[in-house]
Amino acid sequence: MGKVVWRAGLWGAAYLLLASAPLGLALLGSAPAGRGFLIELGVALGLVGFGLLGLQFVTTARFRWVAPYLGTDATIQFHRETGILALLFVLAHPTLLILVHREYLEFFDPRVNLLRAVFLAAATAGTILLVVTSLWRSSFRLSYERWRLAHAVMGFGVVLVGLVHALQVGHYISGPVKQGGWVLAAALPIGLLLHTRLYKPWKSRRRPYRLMGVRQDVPEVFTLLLEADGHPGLRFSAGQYAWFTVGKTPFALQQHPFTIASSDADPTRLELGVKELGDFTASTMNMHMRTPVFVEGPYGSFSLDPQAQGAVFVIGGIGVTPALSMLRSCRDREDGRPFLLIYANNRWHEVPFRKELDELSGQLDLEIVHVLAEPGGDWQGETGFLTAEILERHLASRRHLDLQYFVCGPPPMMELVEKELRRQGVPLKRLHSELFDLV
Amino acid sequence: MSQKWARRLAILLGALLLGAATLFARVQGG
Repeated sequence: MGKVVWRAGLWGAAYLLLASAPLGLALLGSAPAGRGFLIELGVALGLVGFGLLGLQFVTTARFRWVAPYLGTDATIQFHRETGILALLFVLAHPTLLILVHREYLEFFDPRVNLLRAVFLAAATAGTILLVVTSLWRSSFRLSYERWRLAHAVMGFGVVLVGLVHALQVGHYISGPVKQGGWVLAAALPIGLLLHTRLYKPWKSRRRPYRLMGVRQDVPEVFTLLLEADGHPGLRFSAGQYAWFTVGKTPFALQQHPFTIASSDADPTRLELGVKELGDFTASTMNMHMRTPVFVEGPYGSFSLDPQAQGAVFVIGGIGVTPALSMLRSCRDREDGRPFLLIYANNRWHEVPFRKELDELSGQLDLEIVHVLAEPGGDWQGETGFLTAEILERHLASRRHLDLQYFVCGPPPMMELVEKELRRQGVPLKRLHSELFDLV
Repeated sequence: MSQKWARRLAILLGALLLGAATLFARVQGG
């Protein structure tokens, strides 16, 4: 626990320092005379809001040195929370200033300065839309691709307007040194955006895969088979995921995160387990064979530690793909450690990869406990939703081992399982959870 | 790290940044 908290603390401190950097920059050199506490607070909120907006580009830049420490979905969750935080700071900035001094309304007055009013109003609306369309994307009937494009364009626009606004007001940013510093600070997020959306896809162009088959496993679950096209494949650790772009170009907006379900022993052949849920997965059956697929990654820290004495997977539905990859890899390596899979699904015939898991239980020291919410008449196993009692029943005999725990499934299940495992004394560093509902 | 921690960390950072903004305003605005 200690190590995890320290790590989070360190990241938090670095984040804090960067987010408050605009405040520090403002006070560098000879600071101008103050204009009263509330006005300065209003200005400071804007400066911090700008810093927070800039950092939003860092948390989604898919840096390998960020995600492994925080976990990918925690990083995305953090991006969401800090996005809301940035919005609050950005909105508080004009609100407080206008409340204290009505004259500040002129920033939004098209009669005083048309361009300024239009851009500031657009940036304010843009910041609100950035957050609102992300939190309630489906209510806006936005497809994932359109949302992603709009999110990048609006984010870019808001930072740009913020920069021009800060330079134009110029109260704390006079002189070429400070102005240069601000431009550099704003170049960072813009550079990161280009890095994520242009450089990384460009890099993935050099190692294309091809779609070699689509297999239906159970109703609504498909396996996509990909083969490396003239390269040794992407090296990954079982349990990691990557971003996949299907089609002629890696720059397409249709980029989707999927866990690699195949063994990491052979990176030239990737398998993805896909549930027919979203805009992309609905069209998986209509894809042409040999369609190029570009893979960017791998990402994620959901991987087996060679030091652990074994692993417990607590999985709901299609969340099984990382566990499947780890188990397949362990089979290929003839790993003799004990594994337990507690696997929650609705109905027996809907259990993804059931047959293969059965086979794996014959090849590995693997025990599978199926939990069915709607079992058939002759079902003898665990029934209902996953509960603390079910976990207790199957984990009690393994408590003396130093095991790793992997939890992946729908949010309510994950919450219950995480809470219960913590209560049973599983240390935080041994508990890995991944939610695959990124946006 | 679980998602709850991400939220807690964000809330804590928000509070600290608000504190930094207040400090800035105190120093500058008196």
